[in-house]
Amino acid sequence: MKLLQLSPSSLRKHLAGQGVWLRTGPFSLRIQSRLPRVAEGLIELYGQFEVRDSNLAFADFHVEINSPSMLRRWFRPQVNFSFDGDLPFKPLPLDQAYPMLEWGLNWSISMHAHQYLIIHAGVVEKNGLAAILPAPPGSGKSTLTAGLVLSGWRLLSDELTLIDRKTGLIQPLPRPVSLKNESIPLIRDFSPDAFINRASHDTAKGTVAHMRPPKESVRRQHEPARPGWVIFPKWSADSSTTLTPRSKAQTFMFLAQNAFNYSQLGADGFRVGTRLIEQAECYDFQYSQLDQAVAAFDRLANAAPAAKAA
Amino acid sequence: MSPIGKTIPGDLVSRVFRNPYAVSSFSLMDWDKLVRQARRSGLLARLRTVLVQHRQLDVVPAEARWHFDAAATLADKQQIAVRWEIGKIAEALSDLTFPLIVLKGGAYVVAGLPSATGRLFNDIDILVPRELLGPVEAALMLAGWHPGGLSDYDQRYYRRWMHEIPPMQHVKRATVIDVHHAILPDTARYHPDSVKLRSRAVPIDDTKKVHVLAPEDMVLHSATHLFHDGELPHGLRDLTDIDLLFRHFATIPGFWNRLQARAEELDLSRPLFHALRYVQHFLDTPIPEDFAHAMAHASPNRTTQSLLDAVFLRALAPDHISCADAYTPLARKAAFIRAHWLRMPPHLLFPHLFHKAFFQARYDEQTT
Amino acid sequence: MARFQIKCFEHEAVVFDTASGDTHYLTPLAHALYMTSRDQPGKNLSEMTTALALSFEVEPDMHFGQLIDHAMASLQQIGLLETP
Repeated sequence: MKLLQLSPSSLRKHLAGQGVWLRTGPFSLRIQSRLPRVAEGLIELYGQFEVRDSNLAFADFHVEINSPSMLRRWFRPQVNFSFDGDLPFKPLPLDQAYPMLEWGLNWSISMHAHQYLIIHAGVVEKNGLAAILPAPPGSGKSTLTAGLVLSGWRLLSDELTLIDRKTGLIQPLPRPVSLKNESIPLIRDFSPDAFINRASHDTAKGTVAHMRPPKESVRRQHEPARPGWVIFPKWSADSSTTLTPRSKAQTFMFLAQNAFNYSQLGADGFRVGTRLIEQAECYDFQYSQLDQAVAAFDRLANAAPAAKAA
Repeated sequence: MSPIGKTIPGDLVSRVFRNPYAVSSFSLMDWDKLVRQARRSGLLARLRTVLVQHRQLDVVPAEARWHFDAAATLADKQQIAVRWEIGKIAEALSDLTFPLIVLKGGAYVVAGLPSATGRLFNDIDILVPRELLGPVEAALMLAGWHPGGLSDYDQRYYRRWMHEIPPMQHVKRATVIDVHHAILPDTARYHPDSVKLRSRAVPIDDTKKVHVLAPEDMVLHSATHLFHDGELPHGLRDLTDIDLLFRHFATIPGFWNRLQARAEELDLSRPLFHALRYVQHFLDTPIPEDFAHAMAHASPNRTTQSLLDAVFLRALAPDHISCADAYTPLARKAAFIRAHWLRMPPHLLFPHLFHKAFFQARYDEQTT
Repeated sequence: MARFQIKCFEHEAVVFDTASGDTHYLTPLAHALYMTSRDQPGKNLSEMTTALALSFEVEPDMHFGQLIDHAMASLQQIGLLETP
């Protein structure tokens, strides 16, 4: 059963009570929250994901998003993310309750899911090949990810690229795409059909909102993809659209230093990471116009050997 | 059958350790609880080892399986890291001529003991002669470890009252060393003689660069640490260490007699008694009857024993809500206070607890 | 498993030290120097310098000698080559 098949009042009741069991990509969650913003976010953004009776199903992660105390619901209201009773973060203002769920889930996965090499990168797929987009904050990675998935690319993941250690394939986790500051109006203009939820303000990253993942991407969330490219995007005003080949060795070193759990995997992290780089073409990518960026990616996808063979 | 009676029924972790075959009748929700309790206790990887040894790993439902495997990945990696780190420590201290003794988890790794498998590690603990504390600190600093990350108060706590160097963190690797000159602080009620402990230390190989405590002393240290340390989030994990040490050393002829004699000699019979009692209760550790009988004299009086049972039966269970009853929070506080009581005399203890209670939280907010 | 795991990407390479858990990058010159010393253990440093200068198509001058020293030092620091 999908989440959108629950009535909003039923969802709110379960969420505030025993919790809602929800599957997203390879992970099952049991989410408990008494906060209306969290219910709203789930209803708006997770409609296509599977739900089950939380008293009957095994959940990978048990999380709660609630106010620290009755008092803090009303006076400078705050919200806590709890991971099975632990509080890994300091409280945030109540306005950030929904993003806190997303950040908390990212943390839960990257701290525990060592069956994957987990790279801090967006990843999208077309014609059977995945493009991994690592980028430091502010480089426009999520804007580009959003633009691509609104233009026919499949969303595999926005924040966490999961490389299956056993198969070397990329495991989809098509959760909502986070957009910041100017990206929000930019994507609204780019695609008026895209659903972007209510923004949270004054976060550590500025103004943050989330875009609903495309229905088709969620439908195909259990289909892994082969890595095709590792592309470092950089948005800069007035830049032309350029794709420049990049040293594979240096790209690997970047991944080793920036992956969430590279060092936890020991020699296997090295094996999986180098195998990934071996298979993928590595580029730097500069752009200023989103539609031109999408066109450049489309050209890449159409030129790829896999596409030709298919 | 434990002398105390049943364990907390919700505690699935110790149930599986006592009887790994019990998992064949677990429901999906039992597995859900087991994974959470085990993760909290730091025992996911060790549980996996037990399941493998009893050919029950395939019984684990597909949904739950990755949790065990991922924990094992971490544990395996940490073993390698600990071994490397101890090598680096030995290198840093190689100019100082004294036998470097590694304690606790680090010792299990370098000595290749079963208690090293499936374990997660925090700091590395070493034992050095008291008179060499200064040169040791200097040599470690030269090699990149620095005492730090503590408030001035905590630094003073370590240096003046506990007569120890605060934990030292490596500037590049971020690993932490706890340098001890005794296995209990000066201010504690018991004073196991460090010279005696060091005199029986065993080199791990022919190079004699690194030593561990003798088997009896290793067990006594583990027992003493468990029942004198207020931090019990890993109480059950520490109990499984003791269980594995007992099972391994039991194969050495004369071990139990030596253990009893040594406990007497170091005046640690009481913590050993506690260890025996609770390791049998939670984990069904096989203890020879005559040894248990010989140790009976070290038991506290009946009233004290009841009180201790009420505390430790709860405080040693997994620190998870599914293992708690109404008295568990109180029991954990009591264990904490008791440990501090045993470590510090009252005139030092109360100002210390006061400071911790009222100032520690604010300091944490400022530094994180 | 061998202590050092090496993966070549064309002329560059990356190395994993299974004992320490460290990962290293090798420049083309360091990589070539390592491969030469491994495949032709009999050669001394000056012989290797000449051979490498030839393959990189540069003069084996003092500047190149310095680059070789630098590459050698990094290989020794990583532990791929023994410090004499």
